[in-house]
Amino acid sequence: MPHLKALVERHENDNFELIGINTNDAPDTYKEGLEEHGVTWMSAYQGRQSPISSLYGVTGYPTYLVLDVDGKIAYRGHSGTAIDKVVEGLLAKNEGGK
Amino acid sequence: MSSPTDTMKRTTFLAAALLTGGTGAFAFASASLGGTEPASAQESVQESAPAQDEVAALAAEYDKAVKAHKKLVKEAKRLERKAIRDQHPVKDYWPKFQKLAEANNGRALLWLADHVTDNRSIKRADRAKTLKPLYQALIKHHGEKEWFGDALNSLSKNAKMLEAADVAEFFKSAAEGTKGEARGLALLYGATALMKEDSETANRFLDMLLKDHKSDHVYTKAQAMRVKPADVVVGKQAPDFLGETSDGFKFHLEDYKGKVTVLDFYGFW
Repeated sequence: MPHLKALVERHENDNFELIGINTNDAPDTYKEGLEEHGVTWMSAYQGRQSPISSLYGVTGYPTYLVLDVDGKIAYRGHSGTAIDKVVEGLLAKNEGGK
Repeated sequence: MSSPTDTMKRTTFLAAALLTGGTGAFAFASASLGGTEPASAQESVQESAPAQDEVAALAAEYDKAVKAHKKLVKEAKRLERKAIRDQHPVKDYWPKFQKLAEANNGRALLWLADHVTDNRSIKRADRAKTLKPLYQALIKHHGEKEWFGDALNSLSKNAKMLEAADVAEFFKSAAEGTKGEARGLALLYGATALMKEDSETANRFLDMLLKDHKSDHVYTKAQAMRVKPADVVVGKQAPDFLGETSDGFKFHLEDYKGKVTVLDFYGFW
């Protein structure tokens, strides 16, 4: 969570969005978790059925996907640190190279 | 769209009910199915609250009796077991529910459909004959009930006991007689139940779902039925879905095209 917070803050003024997709937390746990971890970014609540996880074939948590500006999957994995580099690369590419 | 820096208000939790969709959790339907709109092509039947409680109480009684019966069977001496097994509580309860069903009590109709397999006096070959009128009545008269999702789930589970053509017809009627999330559910259950036996109808249902129900949570489930594991790897287009925050804000992944997006699948557990 702190790592994601940093990611969001770093790209506050960029063409970037972090979308959390919560899975398997009870409604109360979810609400408390958002507060406790200072989740200020968009987070979708799936409840127990997890249709979005099913759609993406996600079985392990956390799983990260990075999408480029056209919505194509540029990274899919479990490394929080890897996504930083991918995001930076994609942002740079989109701004015509930095 | 709220930016990441927006403060999120912790408001009511309808999101949980909305997202569980499917069985039982049909509470959200009251918004779209509301008693204020006419039944259109269907004749809806309103049950009094006491009638609903009666079925619920009877069902609870039955479950208790079944538990006790199971215990009896387990503890009986081998030679006595068959005799005891034959005295299954369904013998007493089936007629009771049948009486209520004949008065068009929807919950009773559903109970019967869900317990056909308990009733050994109904031969396997006769199950379809028993089930058909039950589902016919449920779809004709109870499509606007907030528990109608349970009826769809039941039909889904019992689909194997019926002819595929009848199943297709049932789901089609159910979809025609409902709107909003309820219609979406009918189409989704229908697609799921028919995919093997009648993929043409199943895919037609999916097409309708994807076209008409983008703002309902069944949309994501419909997408899941179309998308294969090989479609969600690096290089492929990320499939669209409907998400909802705890504030009740709905969004589609497609809304974020043009931005570099990270999807973080996580849990606090």
